[in-house]
Amino acid sequence: MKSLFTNLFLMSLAFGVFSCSSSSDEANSQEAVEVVTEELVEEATNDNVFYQMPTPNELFAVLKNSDAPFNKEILNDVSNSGNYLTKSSKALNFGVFTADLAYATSQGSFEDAASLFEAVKSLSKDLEIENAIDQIIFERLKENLENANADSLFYLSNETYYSAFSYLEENDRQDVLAMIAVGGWIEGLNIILNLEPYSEDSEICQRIADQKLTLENLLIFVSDIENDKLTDLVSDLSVIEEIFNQESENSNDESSESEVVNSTNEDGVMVFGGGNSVSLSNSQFDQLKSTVMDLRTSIIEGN
Amino acid sequence: MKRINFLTIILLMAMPLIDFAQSQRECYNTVSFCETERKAGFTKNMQSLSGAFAQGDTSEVQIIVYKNMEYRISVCSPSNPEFLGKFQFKIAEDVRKGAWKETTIYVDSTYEDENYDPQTVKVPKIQRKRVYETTEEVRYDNADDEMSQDFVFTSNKTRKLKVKVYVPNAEGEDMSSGLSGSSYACVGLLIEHQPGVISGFSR
Repeated sequence: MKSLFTNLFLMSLAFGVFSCSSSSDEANSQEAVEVVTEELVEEATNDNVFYQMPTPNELFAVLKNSDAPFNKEILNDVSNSGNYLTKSSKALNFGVFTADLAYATSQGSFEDAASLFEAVKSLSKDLEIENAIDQIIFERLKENLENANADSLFYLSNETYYSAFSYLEENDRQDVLAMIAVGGWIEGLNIILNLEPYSEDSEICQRIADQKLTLENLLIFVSDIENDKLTDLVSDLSVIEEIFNQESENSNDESSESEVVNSTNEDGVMVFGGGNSVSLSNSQFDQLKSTVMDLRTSIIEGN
Repeated sequence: MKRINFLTIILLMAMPLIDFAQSQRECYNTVSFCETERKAGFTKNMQSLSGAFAQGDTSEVQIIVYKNMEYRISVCSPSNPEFLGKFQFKIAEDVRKGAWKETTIYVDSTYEDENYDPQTVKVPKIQRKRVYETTEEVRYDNADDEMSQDFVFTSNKTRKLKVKVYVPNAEGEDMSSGLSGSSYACVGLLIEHQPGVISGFSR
């Protein structure tokens, strides 16, 4: 695959930043700090490194513990599914609709899930990946829609995404795969950005901040594929990455880092604790909301 | 004759690449043969990976794990059942740590001597700098866990992890040539997830 990223950054320290995670507004040191140098260890090039990213289903799992109401208005209109004429617009919007399907099923909205499922099925036919999504999955999806079985639907929508990806990987259609991933990622981010206003300590806000990590892997994956449309998308995604990276400049305080600790919970499962945190300021939230919305609008309009 | 020899050399040189490409194609769906824990509530995670992994080599898969989600990681190789129990895998994380670094610098200091003439001398001054370094922390190593071929964990925050899988050498195989079809093993790195338990009551 690819080696990654920059080797050296020079940054200046800033205090009193409002962020999703706890901000540090206390005076950290009595002594003046003239320059702060951040050194990142150079990452060795290794062809045996693979960069993966989660599905929208995992992203929306957080909503199960949230009070944010289901917002139908932020879904792509299923009537748009017939408007996409190019391979790239079909692939991108396949990703969009699968993310919408994951959101609708996570919220138990069966009526919307049913129509979104039809849109996904229609685009899978256009993209010649219909066979990838096992007919059994389609039948089980339909059956669970009729029986209003939310958990099974959420599981099956994940299977749909997984099957499409596996099939495209098998058939070496990396360009389509990458566009689906971009469409799904943008739609997922757009949905969680529009669930509630900025709230410093909310789970949803933290989940938005977490997308910095998924974007890093997405960019590595996508930029490795030669395709003009993907080149444009990488450029668009880089703007979003820059917004996420503003956080880094503002959070070089000690609150964003802690010692790595492993513990065991009451069920005997190991819990990874400590390490670095990512956070998001109100300003970043607003910038993201606007930038992501623009890109998402361009995608669903088939541009 | 020379032409034939030249072509033979080219072919011999290209064979490992052809071998690898063929192996990749054959291995694409290996992970679907790995034993799942669906009955325990886990769902197959798309970050799972199937591929032709070089024997005796380590491959790294970078994944994102979400806060409060429970993950299960397992390794399998249906094509090489003799490897079962021998895969070594580690889960590591790059952690950025800050530290204060003190350096002594010399600055000019002016004073008046007994004749009231200004004099300049160099005096030491301690300068503190904040330095950030990224180090790799190993979170789990199955070598410390009786070579367990699966591992369940959760995380208190979303993080990027590196899963490093070491594929053992088949006994008696000569790995140096790279020409043998058996120099690659179809390996599935199965990742599964389920929402973590919030109260510990519903499990």
